[in-house]
Order: sequence, then structure tokens, then C-alpha cells
Amino acid sequence: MNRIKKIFIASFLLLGLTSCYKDVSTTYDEMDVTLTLFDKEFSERTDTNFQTYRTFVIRDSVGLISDYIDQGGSEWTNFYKPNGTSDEIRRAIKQKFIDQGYVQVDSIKNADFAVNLVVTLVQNDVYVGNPGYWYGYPGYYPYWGWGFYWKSGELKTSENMDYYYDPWYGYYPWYGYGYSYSYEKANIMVEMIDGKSLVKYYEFLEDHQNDDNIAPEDYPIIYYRWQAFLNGVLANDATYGKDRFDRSVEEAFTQSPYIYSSNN
Amino acid sequence: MKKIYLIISIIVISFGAYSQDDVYVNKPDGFISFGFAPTWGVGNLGDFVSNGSYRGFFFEGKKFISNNVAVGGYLGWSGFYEVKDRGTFNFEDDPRLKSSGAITGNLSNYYYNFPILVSFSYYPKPEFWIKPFVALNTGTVYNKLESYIGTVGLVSETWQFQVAPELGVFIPFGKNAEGGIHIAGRYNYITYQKYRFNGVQYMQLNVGISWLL
Repeated sequence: MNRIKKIFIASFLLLGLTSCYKDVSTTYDEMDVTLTLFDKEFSERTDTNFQTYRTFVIRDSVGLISDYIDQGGSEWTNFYKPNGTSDEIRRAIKQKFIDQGYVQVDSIKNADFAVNLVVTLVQNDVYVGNPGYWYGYPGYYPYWGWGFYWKSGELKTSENMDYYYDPWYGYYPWYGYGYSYSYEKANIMVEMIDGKSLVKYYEFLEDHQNDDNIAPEDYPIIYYRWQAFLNGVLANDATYGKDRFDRSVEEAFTQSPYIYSSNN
Repeated sequence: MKKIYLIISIIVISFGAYSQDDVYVNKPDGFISFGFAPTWGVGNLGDFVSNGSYRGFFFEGKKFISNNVAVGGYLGWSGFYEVKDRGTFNFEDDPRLKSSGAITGNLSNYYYNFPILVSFSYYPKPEFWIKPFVALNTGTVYNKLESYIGTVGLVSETWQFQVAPELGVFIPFGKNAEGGIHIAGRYNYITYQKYRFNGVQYMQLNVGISWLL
């Protein structure tokens, strides 16, 4: 029996040798993910689509949503300082749309689409249910040179960007039915929103400033045409590394070849 | 594949040894064996992780219940992984969805399993000094699949049914030695039907030490 004991000891030693798995070394930038989603029906339309869009408006600074960076704190101030992270992100995204043939205008009223820019730095894991998920968080809603009237409560967005958290559907989580999106790390979210629908929405809010009993279904629909998530490219203190950021922006537009204007 | 040919050659040669040498020993009561178990995926698993795995071990015991048939238990562990180059993956078009898109990142895939099997072995001549055998192993297996792009991904853990036909041989260190080398080749099939897996299949080489009981 002594022999068998020895065999057991030997096999457990062997187990110890072989069971240290998952030691794959990765650097931070290898963990960066670039995700883009687009409205299929819109992209296939002939009357108005990504190519017939001509003009855009972009918010004047990047929204910052965080559960640990305080408004007015040093990280916050740093983020918004001239030529800080906010300016750098805005400049790069704006230039990309210009490179794709779109023309920047000053007012949402003249814009075919609006570009929303939001950075999220949230410690807890959150899964995005639908576009406009962050609506209502300070920093989400942009101004675009519009007299904005904030109404708490409902936001109605189109269901044309219906992606749900269901990683069990496809072979890979980003195939098919769904996509889980973790906000554990820094994310830059770029949203391309139909200008006309946004104007309608704002006009509706303006007309109903004093109306506290608006039914959810009465709100005009805001149409999201495209969303890009640049995941991981910022450090936890909201500073950014240019190389990683530039690569992610490049990837977002490269994997969305339908985003160009044929009208200019 | 070269490994498979190597195992088959060793086993065929050992079967051939019957006719060349007439060394007979007492038939053992059984065997205890353990060792390394390198594996390589075929079919869907071969696509999921294209390189072979040298992370694996096995432990098994067998006891003769008749002149030629031994029954035993088998425990194993295998780990496969692969980190692929950064790439862009377009979403598959799903008519139920109004949106589509693409994702770019570094894809890393992992597959681990832990089989707990019962083995039925047939030894044509158990009293011969070299002991080739054919076996059928079957039982349950803990099956874990992970796939990530960046930090986002899926984990699927299930218990499945496994079946593994096997061809192997015990070669003693000396003609009357109680210890020897255990070499066996297996084909494994696991009833895993999720994502694009239509069963997990892999080849396995068990190389270890065996003791006669």
C-alpha cells in the first residue's frame, strides 16, 4: 500500500504542475475593445441614410459620467482644461467625421445628425440595455447650442438599436443577438443621432415646459443611427494615451465603412 | 497528427511482440497509472483553439473482473487556450434585430475539462509481459468554455457526457518488473451542443507510469 500512497503523492504533485493555467500575459492595450452598432433599416434606406447625411453638429465638450470623479475635483478640472482630454477627444472625432465628407455646422437646427460624446468612468459593472441608457445622468445630455429644457422622467428612443445582454446566444458574445458591455473600465461613447428627431424632441420639451403629466408614449422618438464604444482607452483618472485612443478611433471608423457622405 | 501515428506504431509494434517473444508473467490483479496527457482539438474545438495543449494529466486504476476484462476509474484534466491576433469581427446578420455592427479586439479562447470516467478494458493476453489493450471510457465531464474579446466575454460551465475509445499498452521496465510505461491514445467526444459546438472532440496521448497490482 505504501507504493500506492507514493503514486498518489506523485499524481498530486503532477496536478500542481499542470493546473496553473490562464497565465496568458496581456498588456493593457490588448484589452481595449472597439465596438460599433448601426441601425440596419436606416443604412438600407434610399431616401435618407448615412451617405445622404451631409451636415453635423458636435457637442462642445465631452460629457463625463463617473461614480468616483467629483465635479470640480482635480481630475475633473484636468479633463476639461483647454487641450485636455475632453478637447482632444472632441477634436479627433470631429476630424474623423469631416474626413468622411460631412460638414460641421453650428446649430442642431441645420444639422442632419448630432454627435454626442460621453466618457464613462464607472467602478461597477453595468450592462447597457438600450441607447440613451445614460440619459438623465449629469453629463449625458448635450447642449448643441440649443436652449435645453430638461424634463426628468421618460426618454423615448427608437428601438432600432436593440441590443440586449444575452451572451449565450452566439458562439462569441458579440455575434448575433446581443452584446454585454461592461463599464468597469473607461469608455468613450460616440453617438450619431438623427438631427430632425432630436429637434422634434427638443421642440416637444419646449412646448411642454409646464406640463408635468406627459405620457411616455407621447414623447417624440430620438433615432440613434450609430454608436461607437471605445472601451478601455482612458486611464482611471480620465487622462488618455494618444496612441491607444487614436488606434481605437481608427478602428471604429474602419469597421463602419458605411459612414461617409456622398453629398459633398 | 504525427503524434497519433507514433502512438499507433508503438501499440501495433507491441501487439506484434506476441509472436516474437514468449515471456509470460503472472497475470496482475489490475493497474494504477498516472501521467501527462497532451491533447489537441479536432473539429469545432480545433477551430476554437488551434494549437495543441500540453496541459493535461490523468490518473486511473483498473481491476480485472474476468480473464481479459478490466474495469476501472479514470480522472483527467485538460486545458486548452489560444490568444489570437487583434482582429475585427462583424456581427452575424440576425433578421430579428434592427441593429448590426462590428467589434475589434484581441480574442482569447479557453477550454478546460475534468472527466470522471468508468473504463472497460480488454487485454487479449494479460499474462504476457507487454500488455496491450483496447478500452472504452465513458462517464461525466466538467466542461468549461471561455471566450473573451478584451475583457468582455462569455463563460459556459456545464457537466456533460463523455465517451473515449482508447488503444494502449503497458510496457514493463523489465520483463518481471511491476512498474512500467503506460502509453495510450484516445479519441474523446463530449456531448456539448452550445454556440457553434456540435460536440467537443479532441485527441489525447496519455504517457505515464503504471504499476501492476
